[in-house]
Amino acid sequence: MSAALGDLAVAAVPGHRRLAVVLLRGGMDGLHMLRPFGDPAFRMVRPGLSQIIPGEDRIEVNGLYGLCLPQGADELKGLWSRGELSFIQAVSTPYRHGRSHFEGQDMLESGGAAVRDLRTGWLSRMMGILPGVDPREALTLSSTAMLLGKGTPSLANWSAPPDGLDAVSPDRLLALYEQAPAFRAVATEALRLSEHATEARQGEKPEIRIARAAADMLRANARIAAFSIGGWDTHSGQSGRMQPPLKVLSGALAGLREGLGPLWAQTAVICVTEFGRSARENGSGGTDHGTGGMALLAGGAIRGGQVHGDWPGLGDGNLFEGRDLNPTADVRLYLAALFRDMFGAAPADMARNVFPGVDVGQRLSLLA
Amino acid sequence: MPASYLTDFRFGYGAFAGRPELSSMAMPGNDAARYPRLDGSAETISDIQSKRIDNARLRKKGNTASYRRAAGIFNRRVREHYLRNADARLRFTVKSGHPFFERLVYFWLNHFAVATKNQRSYMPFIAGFENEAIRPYVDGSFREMFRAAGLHPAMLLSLSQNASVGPHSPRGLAGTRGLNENLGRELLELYSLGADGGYRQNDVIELALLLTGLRVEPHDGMVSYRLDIAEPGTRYVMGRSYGGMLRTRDQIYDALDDLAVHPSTARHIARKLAGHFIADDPPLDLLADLEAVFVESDGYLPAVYAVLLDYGHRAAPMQKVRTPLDFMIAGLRGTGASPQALNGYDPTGGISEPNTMVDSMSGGMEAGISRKARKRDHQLPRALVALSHELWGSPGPDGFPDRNADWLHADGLAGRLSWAARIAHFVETPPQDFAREILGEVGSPQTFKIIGRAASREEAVALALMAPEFNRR
Repeated sequence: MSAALGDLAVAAVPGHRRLAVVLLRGGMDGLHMLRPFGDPAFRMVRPGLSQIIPGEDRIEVNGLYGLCLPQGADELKGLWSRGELSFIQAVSTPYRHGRSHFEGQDMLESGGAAVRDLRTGWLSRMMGILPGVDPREALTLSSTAMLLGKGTPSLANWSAPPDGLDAVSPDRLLALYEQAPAFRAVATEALRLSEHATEARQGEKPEIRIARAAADMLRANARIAAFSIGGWDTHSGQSGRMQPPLKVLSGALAGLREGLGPLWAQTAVICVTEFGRSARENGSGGTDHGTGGMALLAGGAIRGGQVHGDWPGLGDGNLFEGRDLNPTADVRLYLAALFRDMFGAAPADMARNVFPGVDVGQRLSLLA
Repeated sequence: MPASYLTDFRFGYGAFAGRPELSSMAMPGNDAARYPRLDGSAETISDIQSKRIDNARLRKKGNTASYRRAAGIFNRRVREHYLRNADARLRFTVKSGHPFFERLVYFWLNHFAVATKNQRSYMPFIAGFENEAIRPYVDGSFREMFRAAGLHPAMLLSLSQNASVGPHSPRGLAGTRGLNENLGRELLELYSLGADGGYRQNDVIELALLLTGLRVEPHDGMVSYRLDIAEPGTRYVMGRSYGGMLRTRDQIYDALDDLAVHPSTARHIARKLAGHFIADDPPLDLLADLEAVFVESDGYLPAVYAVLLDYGHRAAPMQKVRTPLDFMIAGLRGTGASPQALNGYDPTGGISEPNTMVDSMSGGMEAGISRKARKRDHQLPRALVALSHELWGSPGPDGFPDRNADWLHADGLAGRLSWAARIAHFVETPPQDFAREILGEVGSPQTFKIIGRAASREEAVALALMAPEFNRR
C-alpha cells in the first residue's frame, strides 16, 4: 500500500506547537496523587489513604501538597524535577449530581454545559474554528470511536495498524463504495492512516503504544492528538489499585516525549478526567464518584511546577453536597485557554461554538 | 409474514452457503437448539476459584516468586477457559437454525453488560452468565431476565457487590466496610429505568442498601444472602417500600419486579431494541408502539418482538451497520469457512490484538513458546478481539456502543477486510455466484460490477464481503 491517497499535503510546520489531550477515564482521584497534607481535614477524611505506603515517594509541593507517586512512575517524577509538569486543582466540567461515568465522560468529551446537551465532541467543533489549522491535523487514537472527535468536521481515528488493506486493490475498494458515501469516506481514511503504523513492543501496554503512535503522527502531520487511559475507577483498595494506571500514564508521557524528540519543547499535554472522587474514603479502602478533581499539564511548552486553581478545603462546610471536593473552576476554561494561547483560537468563537458558557477572558499563564 | 433477504439481514445473520432457504424468526424449541455446550460448571469454577484463593494467600505471605508463578498458571487457565467457551459459543451461533434468537441473545447480553475490561476475578463466571441469565429468558418476561441477570454472580462481582455492607448491619457496625452503590446505580441507570427514568440519587442509595446481604461466595461462586451484612430497616425506592426489620432476599426480588414493569423501563427497552435492530434514531411511532405493548403485556418480550418484526418486515432500506460480531457470523455462514480449518490457517503469521481480557491474562508467563505459534487456536474469539468486539468483553456496564458511527470507521473497516481476506480462501463457488447467494436481492449492480473486475478469486470474494450491502442490516 504505497500510493498515498487523497491530497493530504498538509504538514505541520516545525515551528508550530503540538498538543496531546489525554482523557483519564474512570474518575481519577486527584487527591491521591497530589495529597493536601497541609489541609487539617485531609487526614480526618482519609485516615487510610492519606498514608504513604512502602514504595511510594512523596515530593513536597508548595507546603499544602505532597506529590505522591509509586515506583515505576519515573517519568512523572522526572517531568516534575525538570519543570515540565503542573497541576490544576479543584476543577470539573459543569456535570453535577449524577456522578455517572457515562454521563460524565460524555460531558467531558462533548464540552457541553449540561448532560446530553451536545452530541458532538468539543475537539471536532474546535477544529471548525481554529484559524489556519486543517481539521485533518487533529486526530483521536482509540479502539472505539470517541465522542470527542465526532461532529462536523469528523476527526480521524487510529487504533491498531490496519493490516487487511493489502487484500484488495485500493481503487476497487473505493469503487465498491462509489454509491455508499459513508463507507467511501471511511475507506479513504483507512488507506491514509495505514501509512503510520508503529510496531508493538514486547509486553507493551496498549495505551503506551498509542502514545508512541500519537507522537509519530504529531511529528509527521498532526498538531493535536487525543487518546484515553483507563483504570482510574478505584472504588476499593485504592492505594494498590491506583498504581497501575499511574504507571501507564507515566509511560504514556514518556512515550510522547521520546517520540516527539526535539518537538517536545513545543508540546503541551493536558490530562483531564470526568470527575474527581469522594473526599472521604469508603468502607473498602477506596473512594466513590465525586465532583471536583484534578487535571495535569505536561510538556516542554508548559510552565512547570505550578498548581493552578483555588483550593476550597476539605472541611465539612467546604465539601460539595457534603461529600466531594468542591469544584472552584470549570475545567473547560483551561482547555480553552490552551487553545487560545497555543493555536490562536478566538475566545468569542469558543464561547459560541466549542465550550458554551465559558468565558476565557483572563490570562492563566499555563505556558512557559 | 414473508421472509426476505432484507429481514434475514435485519433480524438474522444471513444465508448459509449453498442453501437457498431463508432463516426463520422462530424461537428454539428444545435445549439443544437454545444452549451452546459450555463449561461454566460448578466444579470448574470452584477449582479455578480455589486456585485464586491460594494465590492470594501466597501474595499475602510475601512469597513473591511463588505468587508470580502461581498467578501465571492461574491466568493461563482462566484465559484458556474463556477462549474454549467463547469459541464453542460462536460456533453454535454460526450453525444455529434460530438466528433471530441468537441476535436477541447478543442484544440482551449487551444490555445486561458485565464489564470485564481490566477486571479479572470473575472471568470464569462469564461463560455461565449468558447460558444462565440470558438464554433461558429471551422469549419470556423481562422481569425474569432482569432478576436473573441483575443478580447473577458475574454481575455482582463486576459491580463490586462483595464490597458492599449495610452500615447498620452487624458487620457494618463492627467493622470498617460500608455501602457500595455500584449495583444499585446500574440496575436503575442501565438495566431498567434508564438514565432519564426519573430516579434520584436517593433511590440509588436506597436500592443499594436493599441489596446489601447479597454476596458471591468465593469458594463456589454461588450468591448467598447474609443477614450479618444486610442493612436492617425499610427502604424506599421510586416511591415504594421494601424490607423491614426482618430482611429477606425476596424483598430484593420484589423491588426488581416493580422496576421491571415501570413505564420508564418500557420506554428505555423500547428505545434500545429499536435502536439496535431498526435505526440509530428510530421512528417515534415505532417507539410508542413498542413501549405500549411492553406496558400492556407487563414486559412479555415475545409480544414486544412481534411489534418489532412487523415493523421490520415492512420498513426498508437497511439503516444499521453490522457490528463486527454480525459481520463475522454472517461471513462464516455465507462462505462456509470451517472454524477448524481457520485454526490451522494463518496467512499473515499472527494477528495483532489490542489489550483485552485475553491479553491481560497472558502476562508473558509462557517461556519458550513463540507468540505466533501460541495463537493458532480459537481463531473465532481472537478475531473478535482484533475487531474490538470481544465476545463477553464489554468495556463497561453500559455494553458495547450501538450506533453506526461506533462501528463504521477506518480501523474497523480495515479489520473487516483482514477477516474477509482470511475467509475468502474457503469459497469454492465462482465469486459472482457466491455474491448472489449471500446478497440476493439486496446486492447492487455496482457491487457485482466491481467484483467482476477483481484480479483474483480471493479478491473478488473479499470485495463481496466488504460490499456495503453485506455490512448493513
